[in-house]
Amino acid sequence: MNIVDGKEAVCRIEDFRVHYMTFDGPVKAVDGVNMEVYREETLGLVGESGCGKSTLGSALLKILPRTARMSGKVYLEGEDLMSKMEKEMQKLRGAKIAMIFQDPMTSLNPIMKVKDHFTEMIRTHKPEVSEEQALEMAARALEEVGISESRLNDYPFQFSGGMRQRMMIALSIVLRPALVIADEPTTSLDVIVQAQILQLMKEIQSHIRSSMILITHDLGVVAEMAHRIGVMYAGHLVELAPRDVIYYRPLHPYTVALLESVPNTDINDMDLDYIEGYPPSLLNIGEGCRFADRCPKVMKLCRDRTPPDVQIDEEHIVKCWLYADSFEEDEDNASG
Amino acid sequence: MSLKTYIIARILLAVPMVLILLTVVFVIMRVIPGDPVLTLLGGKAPIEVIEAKRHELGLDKPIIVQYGEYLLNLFKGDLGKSLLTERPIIEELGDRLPATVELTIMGFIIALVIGIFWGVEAARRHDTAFDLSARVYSIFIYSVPVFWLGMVFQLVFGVWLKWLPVAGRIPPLMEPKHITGMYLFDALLTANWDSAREALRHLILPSVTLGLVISSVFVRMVRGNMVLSLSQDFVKAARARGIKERAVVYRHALKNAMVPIMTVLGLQLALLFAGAVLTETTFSWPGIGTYLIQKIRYRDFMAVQGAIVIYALIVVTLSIVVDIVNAWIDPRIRY
Repeated sequence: MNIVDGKEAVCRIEDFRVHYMTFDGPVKAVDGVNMEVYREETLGLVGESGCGKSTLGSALLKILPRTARMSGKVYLEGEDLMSKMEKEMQKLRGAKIAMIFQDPMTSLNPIMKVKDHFTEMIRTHKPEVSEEQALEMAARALEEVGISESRLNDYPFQFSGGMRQRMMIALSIVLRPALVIADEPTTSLDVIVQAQILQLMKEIQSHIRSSMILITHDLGVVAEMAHRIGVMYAGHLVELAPRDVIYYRPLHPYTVALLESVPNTDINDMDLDYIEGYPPSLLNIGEGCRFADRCPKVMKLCRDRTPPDVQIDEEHIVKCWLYADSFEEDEDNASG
Repeated sequence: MSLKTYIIARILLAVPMVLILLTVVFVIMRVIPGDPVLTLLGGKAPIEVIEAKRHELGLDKPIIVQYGEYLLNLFKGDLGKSLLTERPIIEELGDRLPATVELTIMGFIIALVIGIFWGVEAARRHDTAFDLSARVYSIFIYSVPVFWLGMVFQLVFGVWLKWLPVAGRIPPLMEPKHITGMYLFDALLTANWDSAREALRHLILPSVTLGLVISSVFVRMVRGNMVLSLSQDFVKAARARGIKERAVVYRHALKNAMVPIMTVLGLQLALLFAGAVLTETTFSWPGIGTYLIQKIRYRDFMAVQGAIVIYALIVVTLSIVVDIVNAWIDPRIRY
């Protein structure tokens, strides 16, 4: 187990890449990501659509489409996931690493009763558990998310969206995984239900003492939920730091611009700031910083070479040439 | 609504459907050209004889009375007598029904096996050579006429290779003890292995022909619906819970894909029986199909009517079964 500065890393990701193979060449959806998730923390992953955050989430469970090629290392509680065969991964999914999906309306099998979702999953991972014991476990998990046990016999379509997301949460935590990946868990819900679900996730997480990667494009959600925040842009993890550092002392020009583009209610500031241009196409993308074309502080170097992960202090990493001067010696390792 | 209430409601709804069906058969049989009595007696019969026969058959009564008697007799299970053999039609059909049922069941099983395995695998390997093979297969078989396919089989396996018989159900004197009338089934039931082997040998070519024809549509439907089903969120979510791949594909994806498949299949039942008529004719299979063709040839109008009524009732029954199976699979239908 890795202990970093007194914090234990449940999951460590090293130089991780996911490339989708297409007829026109590889689409580099995730390209050279390094990060750790500590025990019992919530790591928020933010970024705009197509930045690779969801791909990264699914890649950790290795449930990407056939066209995806992964490289790099992912360690979950010391186990190397990338070297695992599909059968071994099946044993980990749901048991050690679980996922909560964006749309609870479509993520449950419409023709399977609630209880069958639970018993199937529990008994797949723990064949020694009897049907009755599995039902008891299901009832307890439902209780934890505030759903009555009596609804085990119902079908998913008999639940509202918020209730279904509660069910998804109950399903994902019933086997007490070490890491929960929540992929935009509240995006499809209305704001009131969103707040309830977020509150519930917070409670559950501290109750079962798991770690969580919270993937979202909603800066408000991560501000409320995350201990640390990783900002992704076009397949790169451009900045990773504790929440308050990201909000009050961001360094990467993209993070700065992203925070400035959050609308505020100040009557004197009616113009919405936004980032000019679009993210680059990830198809056959080469060397260089991917934000270079939109960056106000762009230098010649930025376009030629991918910036290294610069360690500003113990908990703050920025992938930007602006801060790289004093870290020349790291550069070859990190960008290689 | 529970499944039981749904089944009762579905059966009650079939009553008007059957009534309309029977009426349509009655009307069609009366508007098609050709006088059954004239055909039966020949054009040169004296007018008194024709009138007498007409009276005997009840054809001189007003049409509405005929209609009433027809429905009443049907209700009592009486389909009338064959004009040709003068045997009760219900008996003649009863002799032949097991042959047709045996053939269609076997054909359907073959279609089911080919359709599910090929369709599912093609969907799992979407856009590969294997997937292409499934698409080419189904288009090819769908475009081939049933009787042509049957004749090719007869030529190859019956005439050239001499592996299998090309006509009939069983050699003379080898019929097993009559229980259901389905030879293979009866022979197995009575442990009459020689008869079973012969019955099976005779059954192979016709049932494979019929099975292949139905499988063409089936492969396509399974493939298409599985491609859709496998791309659904709940399939990905099931994988993310560590459910084994086979359970993901068959328990989660296929079961969901079966709902639209069953619906279309219910509509395709008519095709199944049309195919059965042609297959029976090609292989001289003594079922209702050959009976119908034979009776049409002799203008045995009562018998044709009886055969069509039986076909109609079978289709209605099967469509009820399809609906019930569908409701059993998909609870959203019954709620």
